Amino acid sequence: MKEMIKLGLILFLITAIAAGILSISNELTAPIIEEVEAAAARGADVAGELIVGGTSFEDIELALLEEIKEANDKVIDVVKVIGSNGESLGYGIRTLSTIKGYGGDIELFVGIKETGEIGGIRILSLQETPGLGTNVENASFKNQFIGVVPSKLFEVVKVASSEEHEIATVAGATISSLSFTSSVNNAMMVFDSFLSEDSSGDLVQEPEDIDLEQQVVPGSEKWVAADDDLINKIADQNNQFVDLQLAYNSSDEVMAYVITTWSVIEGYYGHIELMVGVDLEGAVTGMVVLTIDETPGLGTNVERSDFQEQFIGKPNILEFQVKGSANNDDEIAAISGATVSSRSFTSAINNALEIFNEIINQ
Amino acid sequence: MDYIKALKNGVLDENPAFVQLLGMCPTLAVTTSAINGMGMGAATTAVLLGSNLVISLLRKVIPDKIRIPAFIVVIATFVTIIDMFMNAFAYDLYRSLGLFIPLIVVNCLILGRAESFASKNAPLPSIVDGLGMGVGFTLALTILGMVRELFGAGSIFGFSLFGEAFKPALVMILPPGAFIALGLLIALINVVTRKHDPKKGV
Amino acid sequence: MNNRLVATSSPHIVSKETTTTVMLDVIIALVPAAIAGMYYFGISSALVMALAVGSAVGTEAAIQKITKQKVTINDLSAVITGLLLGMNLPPSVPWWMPIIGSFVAISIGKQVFGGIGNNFINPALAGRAFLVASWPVEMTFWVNPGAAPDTVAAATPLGLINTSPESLQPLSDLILGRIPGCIGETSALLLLVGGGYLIYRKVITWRIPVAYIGTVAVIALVYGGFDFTYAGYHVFGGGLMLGAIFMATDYSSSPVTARGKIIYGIGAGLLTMLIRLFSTLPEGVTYSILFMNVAAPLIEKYTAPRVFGTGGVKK
Repeated sequence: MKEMIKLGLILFLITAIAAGILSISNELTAPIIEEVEAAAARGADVAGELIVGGTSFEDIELALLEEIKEANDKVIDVVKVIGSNGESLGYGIRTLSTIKGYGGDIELFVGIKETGEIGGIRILSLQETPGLGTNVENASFKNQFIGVVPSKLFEVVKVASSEEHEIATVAGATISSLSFTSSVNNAMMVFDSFLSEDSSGDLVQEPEDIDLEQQVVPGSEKWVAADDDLINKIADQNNQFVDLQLAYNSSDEVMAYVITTWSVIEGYYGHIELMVGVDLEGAVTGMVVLTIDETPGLGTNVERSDFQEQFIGKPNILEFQVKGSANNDDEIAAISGATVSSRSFTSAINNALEIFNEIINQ
Repeated sequence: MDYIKALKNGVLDENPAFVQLLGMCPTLAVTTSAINGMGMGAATTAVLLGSNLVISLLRKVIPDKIRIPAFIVVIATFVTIIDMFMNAFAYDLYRSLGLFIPLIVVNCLILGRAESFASKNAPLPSIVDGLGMGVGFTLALTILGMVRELFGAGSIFGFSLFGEAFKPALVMILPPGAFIALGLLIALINVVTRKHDPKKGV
Repeated sequence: MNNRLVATSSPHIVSKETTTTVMLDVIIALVPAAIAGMYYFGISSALVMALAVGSAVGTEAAIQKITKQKVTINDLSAVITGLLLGMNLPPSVPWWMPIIGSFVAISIGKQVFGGIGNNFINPALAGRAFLVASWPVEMTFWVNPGAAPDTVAAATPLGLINTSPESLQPLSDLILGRIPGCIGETSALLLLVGGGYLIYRKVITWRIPVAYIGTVAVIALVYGGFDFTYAGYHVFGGGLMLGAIFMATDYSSSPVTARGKIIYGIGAGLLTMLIRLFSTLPEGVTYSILFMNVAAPLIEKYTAPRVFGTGGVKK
């Protein structure tokens, strides 16, 4: 018993002295550590990397930051980038990716100038496969974003054309490329919705001035709501149906039916709502997406005209099939990497056709 | 004590990584580049020196029954101090080595030397032993790091040696490459040392 | 008249089989599929196989010379390793990859452990695993048959089956070989023919290939909802045929006992499907076989036949 007390005491003594030494050491180093970490996160060279000429950071209004964080849960921080004369050069947005990378989210610090131009990107956290996914760290990949004033979200493609918003994927690392790009896109969406001059958030939606009617039924003069009886009849038989209108041409004849419908097959993040124009031969005249929640830059590509064109002008098709490549009239080439979204979109078109063929045309 | 012999012992005859095969965890994990290997070796050496000195000074005071917890407390204290100092003064290295700095505590090399040497010898020989082992460990890790970095990333100490056309064998900076490189290095060392020692045979 | 008696020790009955004749049989069995590979993928694939074989033989000869052992390249085992490695590579790989792959296969996969008969894993697969880990992009770059080697990349059937099944080629293409993939793995038909030859020549037994392929078929059937076409894609696609017939059956790295072989085959089938269905990799044959190689001694231990006379006296 006595020995145990003695042993305990000696151990206590050793530990106490160790603790004492450690706290002294902590006192000495803590302030330096704080400085070093702050410099790493917010030093002048970081500012310069985000926007050329940047030398320091400044917080934005707390209320605005809260608002942004509430709307967008992938944003970690938003700061102003300040130049050497104290002028505001733009913003630095710390964000995670919306599409998961191979080893988790990719955290980026994106510098966006006041003009909306991407000033620079600093990678804060990346756990991709060494030598494969980590190649997104290479200047050759990163530089595709820098200097661009994007008018739409960046899109990852296999071979990049001259279009600014197309990003060539890193060979063999599509997932990492998509994840990285989604992070930049998220920063852009934040800038566009909250920080830019007009804060219109118009990057994701179609520009205000599309003519809905001309997009759905080109050449139509006026639209009129359909007969209530017909609408009820359709609603009774079809769960995805929303609304029906009639499109008239300049000679006041019915030229097409405008069917608003949800998709039958669910997309990646929910159903898609479309407004589809179907002419009297059962051919699709045009369409507009009303509601879509798919992955930006991937599933949302169903809004592209080259995808939608596939449906237009083909009479007497009862049902479109989604394939890898389209060899027949009734086949639709899926958007690469977004098969689920493509299928969902197509199911909405098919539902509109079914409504036309089974109900309206009877 | 023959200090030169003791130093040589730690670097060659009983090299912790290549001969004793101690501290394999940091040896394999951290040597993805020469500078990381060297940094880890240096940190370990610092801890080794400190712990060997203190444990040797306290060897008559620490009762035999509680020597292991006592050693661990001393070693952990030194590791924490080194960790804090690296965070403050060697930030980039600190970030690269990451979790492996605190893991120095469980490096069997340090506890091994404390148990087999420092607790039984005077302070000065203990320091020399610690230095020899530490330098040997650092050398081993640096060489392993150089080999892996050369074949796995085409550079040495961060300087790219080859042009764009050189496609490094990624596996060398991944775990399998660590094992293969270490195995081959040990084989090479065995071949060389046996050649010089007629007693050991070819 | 010679009155001397000749005394020798057993064996007194010797078959004509030597290591070399066995290896020769394997080469013959592989040739049809190799030729098909060259037919579909062109000259570059012939070059890849030639370089792989050359490097394998050269490495073995060099190592044996340097370590002052007898040079045994005439037993053709190095040729097989090189050929198998070459057939396991995409046709578009750069020239130095089969060379390095064979070098690693022979030096680390075989010689370091004691040479022929002492390798605990399949040397060709060891070389391939090294190549995949080192240069993943080049090792997964597939081309369509008939296309020039550095043209646009294609996707293999296994790569498509879970992501875009609408783009799959018909099953007959997989059986004949008109698909993108490694040089020797595409023509399932010719590989089966080779396998049949090997079984006829008693070089391998039916146990490992049947257990392996059978397990894959059963799991694919069940997972795909008893869709025979889906199961067909899994059985005839990827490196299964090449792996189950030619790589899993390597003498030194697979179990010797009959029951052990079946367990080994089932294990490999299970692992392959696990990797194919539930991991991010499209193909799992290489790693499954390597895993089972490591498990083989354990399997042998537990399936060893009871030795007559041991077990003690019955009380």
